[in-house]
Amino acid sequence: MGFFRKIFWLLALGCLGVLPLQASEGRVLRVMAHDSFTLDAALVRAFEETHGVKVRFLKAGGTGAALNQAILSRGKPMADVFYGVDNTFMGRALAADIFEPHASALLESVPEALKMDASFRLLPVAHGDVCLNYDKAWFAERKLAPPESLADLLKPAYKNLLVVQNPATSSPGLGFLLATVATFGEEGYLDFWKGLRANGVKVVSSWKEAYWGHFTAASKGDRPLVVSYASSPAAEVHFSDKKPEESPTAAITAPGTGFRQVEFAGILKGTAVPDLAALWLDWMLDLPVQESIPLAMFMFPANEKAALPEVFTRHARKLEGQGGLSPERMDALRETLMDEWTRVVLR
Amino acid sequence: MDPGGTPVKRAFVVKGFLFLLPALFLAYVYFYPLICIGSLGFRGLEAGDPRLFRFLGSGDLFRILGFTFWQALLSTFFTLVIALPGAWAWARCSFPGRNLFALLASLPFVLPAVVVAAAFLSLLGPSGLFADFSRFLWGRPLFLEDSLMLVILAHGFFNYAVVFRIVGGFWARIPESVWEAARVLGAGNVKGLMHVALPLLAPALFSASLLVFLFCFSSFGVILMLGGPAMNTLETEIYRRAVHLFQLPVAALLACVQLALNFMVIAVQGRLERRFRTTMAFSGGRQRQGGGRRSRLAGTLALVSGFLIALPLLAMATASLRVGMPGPLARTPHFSGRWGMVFFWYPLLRPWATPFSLPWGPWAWGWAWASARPFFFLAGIPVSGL
Repeated sequence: MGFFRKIFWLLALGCLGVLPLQASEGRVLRVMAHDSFTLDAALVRAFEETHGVKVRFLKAGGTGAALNQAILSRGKPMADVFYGVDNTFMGRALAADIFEPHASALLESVPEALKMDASFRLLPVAHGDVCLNYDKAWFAERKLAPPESLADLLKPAYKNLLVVQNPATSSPGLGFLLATVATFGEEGYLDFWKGLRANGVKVVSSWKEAYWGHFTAASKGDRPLVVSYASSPAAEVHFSDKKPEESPTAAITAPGTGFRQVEFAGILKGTAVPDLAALWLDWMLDLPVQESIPLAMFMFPANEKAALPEVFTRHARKLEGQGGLSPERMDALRETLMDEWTRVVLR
Repeated sequence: MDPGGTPVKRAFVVKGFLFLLPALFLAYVYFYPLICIGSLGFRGLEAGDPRLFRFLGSGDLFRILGFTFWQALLSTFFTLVIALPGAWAWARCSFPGRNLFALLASLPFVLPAVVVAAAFLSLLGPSGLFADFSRFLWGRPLFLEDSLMLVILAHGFFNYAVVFRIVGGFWARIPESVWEAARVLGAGNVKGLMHVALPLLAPALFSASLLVFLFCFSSFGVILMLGGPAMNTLETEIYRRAVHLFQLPVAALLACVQLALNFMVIAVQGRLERRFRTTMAFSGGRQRQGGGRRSRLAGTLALVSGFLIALPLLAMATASLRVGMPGPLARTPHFSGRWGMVFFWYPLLRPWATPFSLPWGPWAWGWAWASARPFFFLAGIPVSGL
């Protein structure tokens, strides 16, 4: 018995040892976000020093998965602030009622089109355009013109060239699916996808897998067309060692070929530090953070006054044309769309 | 010592207390969420959740169930085919490196599923060793991606040790005199195998097969990573419904179906286990033969099996070195993306399951291992997604 007793006391002592560690921490702000969330570390440190607080980040999966976690922990939130609800999931987030309103004064500098939640529970922070990217060298070598519209993708010349993400597991995938619904209508989009399947579209689970696993310009893959963002060409230039004059990839931004994704942040209901959370949101909408967003997350800042870095003004594009589905319509359709899409494309 | 004396009594109290700890732990972190989640599914049924009924009406349930059975069956068969020669060689013959071979054969089972999947992708995947090799030889890369074949290969690799240990361990205890008697009575190698070895080994074979079947039936990481977005088993469907589609009632109902099926397989396995124990009347001890043709054959079998087992692991080792290289290879998403997620929780559960259920025999181990995952997952323990 002596041996087991020793082990028991050791464990008990171990548990006691952990307690003071947890108690000694000062004020903490917990920020929950999706996996692609990044911020300039120096800016975060500055925020911590100004407000005498420690900021902890909790990455909770992709856009949809992170939000689902937040909804599941409703009332006893795992964090104080949430970043990364996008316009496709906005309806679910608002219906679950997990956010506190915060009408930040800085919203004045945000264009009306981005302020999709009139109740100010979700504040727009950044936006990016989901669209097709192509490998310039690949198309030039074969003297093939890149597609100009979604309908072009059905042409035999583009057979087996496109890789997309599963809309059930990836937010750009869902954005692209919504673009096809906006372009071909709720009656026509499935026929388009049937055609795409017949023309050899490849479906993968995540953006990383599509872009870094199959896109010819960024991997050993064999797909010169990929669903990505209109700002991805800027990322190609920014991250390359040689800083080329021209990006090796280009985005297709013609009207009706993409989807504008807006990312929101909000204060989680039930937080113990609502004042700090509000300060954090204002800080995110203010110029220093807004101006760092392009190179941190490769999205456009929501604040109109934020200056863009040169690599962005030269290489990143925005979608032409307006329109698309309203957030309410998207919310109503999302699940049916995913089910139908899965039936037509994957089975 | 006096049987009613105080030291014994105290020992009982302490033991009872020790058992109370895991019992309370299990009740809180396992049964409590399990009941909550089970009721979620049934409440959905009662309340007429439209998503639940759309799912039930679509026939998807039977399609998914059918496929789950099918892949588990194929995987079990494949595992038996690749593992039995090695088990025979180890159990019945002596050859140099026999212990090393046993060690190598058991290695895959203690690896996390993520590592197994990573190993197979770095061997047979689009940017794997075999693709490079075939490009060099024939100018065309040959690889497997998002395929049932890849899943079955990985399952076979993963469960090699189960068959090897159970069947091999049983086989080693059968005295050589049984075969000698068969030979004296005129049975050749084939006849000896069919009429003597197989009937004697039957309980062990069934028991191992059922265990492998159970593992493959509830396989998650391997299917998710090697099967591609189109492949759906019960387990991955639970995950997709819960995390990505947020249809918790559907996920909960599927989890109940999964649990019921697991219980069934485990009940059968437990029964066989008992029979297996009664047949284990053989003495044990060394029954191995050395020297001559038989030893050479066994050595060759072990060498080939060992090489096949080592191959994916070696491929992964070289791939991990290649990631550090400049150029496009450096950016292959080897341990990012969907793998990062499984890393987060998968290795966490296996070490949990093992110590808690060791005293309850392998079936309990299998049960905890196989059925805990969807429930832990639904309980929100893993906070990461694809």
